[in-house]
Amino acid sequence: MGGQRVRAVARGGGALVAGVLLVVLCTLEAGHQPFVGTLIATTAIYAIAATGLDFVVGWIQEISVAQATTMAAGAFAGYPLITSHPLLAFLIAAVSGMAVGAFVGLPAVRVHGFALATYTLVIALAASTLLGDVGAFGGTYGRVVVMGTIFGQNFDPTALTALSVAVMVVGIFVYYLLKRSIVGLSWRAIGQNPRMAGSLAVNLPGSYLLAFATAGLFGGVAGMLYAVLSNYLAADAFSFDLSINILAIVIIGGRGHPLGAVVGSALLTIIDYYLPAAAYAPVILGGLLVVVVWLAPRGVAVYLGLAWSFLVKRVTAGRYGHATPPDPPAGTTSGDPISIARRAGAGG
Amino acid sequence: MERGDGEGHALVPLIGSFGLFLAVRALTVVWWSAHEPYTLPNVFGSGQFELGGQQIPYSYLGSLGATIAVGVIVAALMRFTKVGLQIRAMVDNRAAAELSGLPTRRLENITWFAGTAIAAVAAYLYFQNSSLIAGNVDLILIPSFAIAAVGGFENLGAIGIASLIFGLASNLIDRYANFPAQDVVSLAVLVVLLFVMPRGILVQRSDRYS
Repeated sequence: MGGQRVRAVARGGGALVAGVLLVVLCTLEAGHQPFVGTLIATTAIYAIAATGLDFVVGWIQEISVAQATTMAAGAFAGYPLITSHPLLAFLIAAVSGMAVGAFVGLPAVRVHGFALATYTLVIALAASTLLGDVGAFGGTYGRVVVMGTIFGQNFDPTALTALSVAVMVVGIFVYYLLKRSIVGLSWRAIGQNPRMAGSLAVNLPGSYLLAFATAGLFGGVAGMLYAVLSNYLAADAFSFDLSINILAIVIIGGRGHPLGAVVGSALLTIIDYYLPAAAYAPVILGGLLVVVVWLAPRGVAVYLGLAWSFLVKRVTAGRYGHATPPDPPAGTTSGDPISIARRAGAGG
Repeated sequence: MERGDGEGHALVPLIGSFGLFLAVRALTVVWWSAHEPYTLPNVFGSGQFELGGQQIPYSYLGSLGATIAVGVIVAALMRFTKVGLQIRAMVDNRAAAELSGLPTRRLENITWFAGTAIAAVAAYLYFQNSSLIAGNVDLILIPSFAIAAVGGFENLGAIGIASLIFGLASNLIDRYANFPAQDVVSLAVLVVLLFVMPRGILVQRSDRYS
């Protein structure tokens, strides 16, 4: 037990150090090469939105193609305060994204699967059409976005890259925390078997709504960052295509795995910026989505994770005398969410 | 509500279809441009006739007739042919259909091809009466899905009635509104119905709670 705790603390500490190192390295790289900095920031922003969507797609196993709508809600709601009170703007963006996310997830109380996916699709299409047509949102011409200072810090492109990567690291940290929390376990239990989860006293409607709202929170923050990074806020930026791109990131990268969002985002950014014929980027992405769903439905990151686990086991085999951790004692549960949720329910 | 975990996401085919949608739509935009309007030849001729003081083009009448014909053919196929009955059995209970020895994968492929073929016919009927612009094709998705949700995804007759009501209502509202009212109406209808009658308007009471 003591060994496990030491390993958990070491793993957490290692992740924290890795996160800080990532922010520092990205900031240094952005300082040297502004273009690479923009790519890193874009990847980080996509990863934030995709990490949020993974709660819906990877954990409760429903499809939402309205993540760009929550991003738009965050960006448009935070815009009026982004120059004068940037911190407050981000807070409002998060809350607005959360509210729109909950609205998107509202029918999940009654319908699931294809019908729910259809509903989110209609939301995404209708929102992008309305945002473009209604003058109050700036129409398709858009508005210039200039971010104010936070604690005297001016946000040039390098600092913005650092901010985006830092928010992404925090997002992944929250993802890890949620994964082992009762809320996260409930979501994952619903994803595995909703009836079983319901019989274990998991509040199904509340859990669905909370998952969609949390996805919206991440989307709202990502949307605000997206507008700040591009110095521009227009309805076109949050089109239906972006929603499908974020879904593609989750599926191609690997759902249910925080690295999946990062890997998928990096892939999307590379395709977007380095493909000689930019018009073919959606073709490549769509084709990749079909291939991944067909051949590797768990996504790319899962295989990277498996390779990493294999390496770690090989290295630790000599240190602990066995390649795999010992089996849990009789009477204790395994680590799957249903078992853990059942244990939590039994314990009150 | 049973779900698969691990390799098989219950909605994998849907995700795959989103991928196809993304790729095919991008290709149409690359090949035919996002904003250039195209005019499709009208298969029902360009003439018109007068009815109750209104000039009605033959193409409108032809489109209505073709829609009814497609509906009747699909309904007959589903009700009277072996393949149609197998498809209905698979939709009703996939596990039971598999245990009965039905080739579910082949039936899925047949359904997919038939569905896309009917969609192509519908698109032609729709765009022969207006300009075809590659960048605007996905706008049809909003009312289409709203109609499917109103009708209930498994009830052909209800979908027909829903599309008639929806078409009339949205055109009337569009005439008096200064914003894209069709999208708002679609969305509002969809939200309300998914809450009140998630399985469609004409689902029998006994089925509604099953």
